[in-house]
Amino acid sequence: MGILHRLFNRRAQEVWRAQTRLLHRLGYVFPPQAVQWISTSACDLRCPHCYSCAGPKSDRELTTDEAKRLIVDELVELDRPTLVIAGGEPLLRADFAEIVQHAHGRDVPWALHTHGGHVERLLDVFRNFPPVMVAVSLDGPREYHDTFRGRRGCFDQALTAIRALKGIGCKEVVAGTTVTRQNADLLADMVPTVLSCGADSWGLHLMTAEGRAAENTAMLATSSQLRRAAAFARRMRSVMHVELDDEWGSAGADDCYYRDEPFLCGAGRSTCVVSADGHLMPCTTTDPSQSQGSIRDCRLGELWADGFAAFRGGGKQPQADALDCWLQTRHGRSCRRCAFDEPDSAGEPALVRVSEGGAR
Amino acid sequence: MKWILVPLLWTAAVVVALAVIWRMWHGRNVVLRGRWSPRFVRMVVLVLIVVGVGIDKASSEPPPEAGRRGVPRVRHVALASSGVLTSQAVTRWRHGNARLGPWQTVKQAIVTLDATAASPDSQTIETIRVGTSLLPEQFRELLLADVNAIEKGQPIPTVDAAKLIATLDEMERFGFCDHWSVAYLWRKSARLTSPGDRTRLAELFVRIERHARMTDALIYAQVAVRPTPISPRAWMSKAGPSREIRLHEEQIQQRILAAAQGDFSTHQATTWQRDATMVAAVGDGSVPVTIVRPDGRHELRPGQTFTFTRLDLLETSPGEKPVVLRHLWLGQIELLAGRTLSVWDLPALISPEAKKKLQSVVEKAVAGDELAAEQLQRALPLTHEAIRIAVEETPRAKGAPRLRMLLTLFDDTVVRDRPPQSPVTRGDFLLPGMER
Ligand code: SF4
Ligand code: SF4
Repeated sequence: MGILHRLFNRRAQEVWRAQTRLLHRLGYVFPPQAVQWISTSACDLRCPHCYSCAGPKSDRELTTDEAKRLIVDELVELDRPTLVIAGGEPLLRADFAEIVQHAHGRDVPWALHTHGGHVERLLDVFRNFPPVMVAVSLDGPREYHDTFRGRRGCFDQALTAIRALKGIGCKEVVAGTTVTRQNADLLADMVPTVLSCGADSWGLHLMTAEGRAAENTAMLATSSQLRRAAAFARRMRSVMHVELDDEWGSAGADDCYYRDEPFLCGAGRSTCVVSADGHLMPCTTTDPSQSQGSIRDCRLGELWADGFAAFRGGGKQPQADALDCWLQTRHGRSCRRCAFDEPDSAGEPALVRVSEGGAR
Repeated sequence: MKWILVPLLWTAAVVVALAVIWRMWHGRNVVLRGRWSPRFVRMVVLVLIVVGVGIDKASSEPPPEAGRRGVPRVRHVALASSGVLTSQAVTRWRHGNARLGPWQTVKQAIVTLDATAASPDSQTIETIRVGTSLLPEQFRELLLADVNAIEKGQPIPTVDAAKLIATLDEMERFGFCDHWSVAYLWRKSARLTSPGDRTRLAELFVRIERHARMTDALIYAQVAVRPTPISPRAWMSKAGPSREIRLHEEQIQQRILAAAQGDFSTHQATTWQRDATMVAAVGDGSVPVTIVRPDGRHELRPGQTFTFTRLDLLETSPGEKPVVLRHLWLGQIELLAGRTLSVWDLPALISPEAKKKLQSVVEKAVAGDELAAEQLQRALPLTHEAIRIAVEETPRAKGAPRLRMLLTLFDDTVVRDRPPQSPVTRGDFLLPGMER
């Protein structure tokens, strides 16, 4: 804990943003901290908020060999950032165990996003090659979850998955709830379930207008729902580990009341996404214009080094704003103002006149 | 020697400069790998930032600080001078708030009990009993009395203001700062109805506010200092931590303490100032009313608009003429003379016509109307009781979950317990000297 360490911690966001920019100008970049891989577009569910439009398997997906060579081996060269395996439903890939074994063998930490339905079947994989984190989707109480996901039994499968993963000693199991207009007000009702399911933490995501969700924007939470949900999360942090995830953007100096680490959008700066067909993207967008190139044509490390200039260079464009979620801002749906701001005179501006001294 | 060294150095410098220029214009970017180069670069950047180079003005700024718009903030007393936030408080707070620590487990068990309103199983009760054994004594007594009552299906016992203040005293002496706990004590204030208790409400609310700010300051300071976690080592268990670790821990403690004390007087609004507030005005023909806030007493004159929070009290002076408040939606609210009124009393003071209006909005909200629910949220100090009754009567209605979310903002947690109705209209708690 030297003086530099202390200075750095106090101004972590500033330092991080400045160093990204300065390094970029000098032609350097840090290795990514996490690389998310959309391992498949296949999914046995059809959730309306799915950012990756999952459904049938696409024919351009990376093969087993490509996944090992073009992703896992490349990550070794990049100082072993966490490989976050997402989808679709990654556990539907027949080679899931083989890829995870390869990552484990090469000391690449891995994490998983899953709906939980196939965890029990593959429990040995989790036992033998332990992940650093598994996030299991939990959208609401049983009835809501099953209706939303379109299949009876999904809720119970998700809970069983969480318990099973904790049962085999999985380090960090997160119950992940994507907040939508339909479930934003179910959070209080979910508390007993989340508390009793054994998850280490509860991650509250926001739906972003990407993939299938772009066709269902009426499902985006309203401003007052966002504010309520954020206020709820702040309170519940006294009782359990609840985190507002990236899509909420920065709460400024209040960040510490909503999450463990101060918010910074990592897109293209400390994180990136490999799409199902091998394109390197700044985040989980399905917009092909955001591709920095295919890892089939160019090494992941090279794409990482040379790409994402708009994110790293600073300036006025939305990509350069590390204090807000780029996925949200690119759709004109920044959430931070409505979620974290003080309400204007408790929302009743018509009555408010400027107080003339005395009380507030 | 010098005539060789100087040209060599110049040559090396030119080569490096050319290489840098070439790389900047033509070269491919390089990923900084390994252990030392990223660290070194970060140090350089830090130095540059300290001297003001590299700050990006184009990025969006953080949200405005609390109180910059709309509702001004309460003025706070500096914590540094309060003598409450001590090194011991920091140590205990850090241990007590450990993730999955025994106190977290107890809170989770109680919240589950509260949220489900189910009769507790023996395992839950045992978890709570065992987990509370490390808590400050008076606080433990309160919690266990509640749990016993729930177990036997009896009403939650009442406690007087003196006990609540003594509990807070003890908690702070113990270094026990916790949002859930202070909100728990605040909810107990709903049951304070005797004249003696009323006179101590202001004191209690000041303490609650201070406690909440202190807890926020600690959370803030913890992140600002971000101590390196030191994992316990089994082989040390008998000898205790090494001198090095002990010193390191002490340093962290001191830094958190300094950061929390420095931050206390200036930092952002707590949930008590942010949520479950309402705006009202003193009616034009009304007599003035005194609002008692954690930062002091203020007279509100006719026509003056104010924000009422859950920790505010309205004190009306003795006399014939009542105080009349004006609420945009619920109209005139008459406060009887010679009373000290809290957020728990306000619903009872709504006029019969306003109650009808309120009821119809509650019904719409119960049926799932979003705007109706928002209207209720903006007036929670007046509407909380009607909302509670509605969700109790129709727990499975379409809009009931949303109303339960509103109540979490008011109660500061998930609870199903409905506090008793305020006896305010019965006139049984007049100000001292006003007893009939
Ligand atoms: S959100 Fe997840 S579970 Fe739902 S369709 Fe998409 S990939 Fe499948
Ligand atoms: S774009 Fe949003 S989700 Fe993606 S890294 Fe940035 S903050 Fe996170």
